[in-house]
Amino acid sequence: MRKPALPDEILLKIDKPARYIGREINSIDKTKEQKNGMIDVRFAMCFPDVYEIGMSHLGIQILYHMLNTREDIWCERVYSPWMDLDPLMREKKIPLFALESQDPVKDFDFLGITIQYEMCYTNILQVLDLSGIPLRAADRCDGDPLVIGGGPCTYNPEPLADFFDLFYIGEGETQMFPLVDAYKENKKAGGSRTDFLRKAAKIPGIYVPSLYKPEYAPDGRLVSFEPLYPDVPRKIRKEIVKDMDAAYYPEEPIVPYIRVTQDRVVMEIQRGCIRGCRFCQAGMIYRPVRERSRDRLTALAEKMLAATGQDELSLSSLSSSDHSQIQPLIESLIDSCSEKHVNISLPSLRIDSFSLDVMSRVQDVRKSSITFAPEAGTQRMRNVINKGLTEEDILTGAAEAFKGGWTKVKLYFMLGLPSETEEDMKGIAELSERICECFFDTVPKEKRKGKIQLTASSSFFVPKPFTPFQWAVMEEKDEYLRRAHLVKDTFRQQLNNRSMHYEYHEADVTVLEGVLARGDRKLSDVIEAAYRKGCIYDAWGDFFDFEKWLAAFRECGIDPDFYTVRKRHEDELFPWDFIDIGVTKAFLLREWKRAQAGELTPNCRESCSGCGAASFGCGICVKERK
Amino acid sequence: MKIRIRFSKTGFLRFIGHLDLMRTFQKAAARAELPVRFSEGFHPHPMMSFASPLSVGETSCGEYMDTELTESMTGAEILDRLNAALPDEIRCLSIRQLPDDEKKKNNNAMAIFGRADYTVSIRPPFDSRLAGSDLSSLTSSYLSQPARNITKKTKRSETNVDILLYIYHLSFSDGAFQMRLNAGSKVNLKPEVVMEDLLAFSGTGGFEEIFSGKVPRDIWLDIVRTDMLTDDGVSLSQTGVPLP
Ligand code: SF4
Ligand code: SF4
Repeated sequence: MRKPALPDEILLKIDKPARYIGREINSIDKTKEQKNGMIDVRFAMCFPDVYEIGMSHLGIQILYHMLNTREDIWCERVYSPWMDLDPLMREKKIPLFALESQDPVKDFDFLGITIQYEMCYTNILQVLDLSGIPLRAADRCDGDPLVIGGGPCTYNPEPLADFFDLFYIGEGETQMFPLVDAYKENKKAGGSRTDFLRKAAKIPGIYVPSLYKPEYAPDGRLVSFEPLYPDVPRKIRKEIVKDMDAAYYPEEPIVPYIRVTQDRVVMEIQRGCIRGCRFCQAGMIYRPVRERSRDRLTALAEKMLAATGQDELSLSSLSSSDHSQIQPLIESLIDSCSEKHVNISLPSLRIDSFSLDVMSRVQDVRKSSITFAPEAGTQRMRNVINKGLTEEDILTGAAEAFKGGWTKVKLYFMLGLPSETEEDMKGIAELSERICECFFDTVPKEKRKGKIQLTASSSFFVPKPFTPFQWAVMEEKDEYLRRAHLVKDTFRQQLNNRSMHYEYHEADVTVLEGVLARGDRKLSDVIEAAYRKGCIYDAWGDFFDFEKWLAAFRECGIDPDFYTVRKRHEDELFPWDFIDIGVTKAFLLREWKRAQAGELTPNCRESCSGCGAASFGCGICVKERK
Repeated sequence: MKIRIRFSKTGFLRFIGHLDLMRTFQKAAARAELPVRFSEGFHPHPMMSFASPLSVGETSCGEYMDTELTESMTGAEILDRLNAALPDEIRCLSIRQLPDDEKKKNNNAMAIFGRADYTVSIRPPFDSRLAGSDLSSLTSSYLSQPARNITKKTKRSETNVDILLYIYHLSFSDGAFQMRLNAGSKVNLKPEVVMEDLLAFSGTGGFEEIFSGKVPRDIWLDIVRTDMLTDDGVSLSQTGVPLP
């Protein structure tokens, strides 16, 4: 039996030691195969956040089990040590280890890191540092693992370029095996690390940052971004799965011992989204929308539940109501699950008679809430962002829910959207007020089972690469706060203020996210400086320290305003322009202009707007429309 | 059909807590497709109850779980199916059937549990400080004291308790201390409390850090709970009737 990498005295001192011991049901132990020399490639798959968050991430589960289907690969998991363990590992010089074998990450062939949000960038450096891997790819040698990044943030990998040997752009199912095979071949031929990287650069979807050279104008703008060698591709096209039913999906997911954020079986019903909300990166980078069929999903649910014994099943996707089979799918799952005492945790569905009916069947109406994401307070603003949800839709849905006995309402908004006026800001409170009034109008006094409780929350808008708003100018921190206060004051003036609660997200984080989201390679220095100053777990409000980040910017001589409040010209070359997501820059620019004119663009089911993603030849782009 | 299962918890799994152990059993029962009875309501949960939580860090070969099945099955089949679904470091060891009597609600494992057996050894390097002492006679002279009062601190008060009243057995054999202590909801005497008092009584030096609380219990002690018993000293594995 393998010994834990952490000694008892540490495991007994820290919070939730089960985060670090592995051995969960359905985790994969290839100790024997490794001893017999059958394992050629050891892959450490990392989510750079605490276990409970990382274990809840679907992408890693897919790739973990997929890689482990190959006899010559052993893929293991790595998560960030929590704040109580981090200093102990440094003090006792215990290197970061993978959960299954408890072996040091440094002994692996690959360290794959999924990059889901900007606020985990310093955690990536923590993982490298604790592993004893040089932070900069340029400082690594043949014995170090190859550090490869994936996930949504790699659609602009540039701020992290110096820390990674490679990035995988797009969906992992398609090119992971070719990548591993190229690695094995190179190793067999006695090739070096640099030999491998040159070869890997030719694999579709693989981006090797060290093989490209950015050049900047004196004012800091990027003016050229070219490969160093003629055989290295100028553009990297994202990888996508064309047939979701044929794609690999883990039927025996890991069952954690401790309660994790997604403590249930997660079934991905579709990828992509038909709606092109103009602020939404996911809506663009995962185009075109591709569904899993109802038959495949029903079979998957059965297998996953049997293999895990989990008592809850959740359906995952963007805008789940848009799945063409959502109604029969949910109906049949409810029937089969209730026999097995399995709860269904519903995705957020458009509020209508169907969703209210299924919600009332799987949740306690008095305790559950209905959710709307109008994102903006006025119709004008919703047109700008192409959110096809009207006030009438909201009020009709709400009225129906109130009649059905619901009293709790949650609303999600964004503040700081391009062209936002005071009227739009106030509109957040005013729309909320009208929902409250709708409650009192629809439910007669004698039938009210409780009072309406409305929670509105707003986050500040961050422009993301590959969205029509990638050209947008951000606001200063104080301006964000002024807007939030204005909304708060408007709430106070409403008649039903006492039934409503308004909360808004931090403004500091927004500014930093804005810098990193549309950043360039120059930021690698800032991220490292911030890490050296002790920044880590920035996604956790308790640990986020904006002052340290500001000091890091000053130290590196980099002005954050350059990335946030500077106006970008329509033909500016962006650091992420070398990536081809299918959706063209011309389409995004067209959408940017339509936004300014307040014009709506139909969703992919209504009609095709020629975004460019049809070039993948799959999903909704090749479906016939009625 | 009501059943009581004895199980062990060892190895890495000593690091998972009681709530997580319960979840582990619930999911294992579902994977094993055991016909466990569920509670009513919006979120039905399987009817399972555990005798007593084991502290994180301790291992055991004498844990108990009561549950109820909606169909009858042989004991061997239940154990086989559960063991196939459970992690290796939790093993179901034996099974008994309990009377189905509705009125006798107070016969569940948690309610009737009153004593526990432990095997306790002192871990290196602390054990070397006792090298050469005759531990067998240490335990007997300790037990022959008229009283051993220790102060029990609660949030509100301090009380003096004579712990000898709650020690039913204490000896040293096979290189470890064997003890049977009062346990359960009324007085739950912990083995580390006995060990600390025994060391204090022995007068051997070198345990100051332990007395000052600087060394956590599991660093200097290896505690194995070996069984749970009723107030009358009957092992819970002998309650109910055999289930072939
Ligand atoms: S509905 Fe809009 S916000 Fe939601 S995923 Fe689709 S594009 Fe994004
Ligand atoms: S090509 Fe047309 S149908 Fe396909 S994703 Fe783009 S807009 Fe939608």
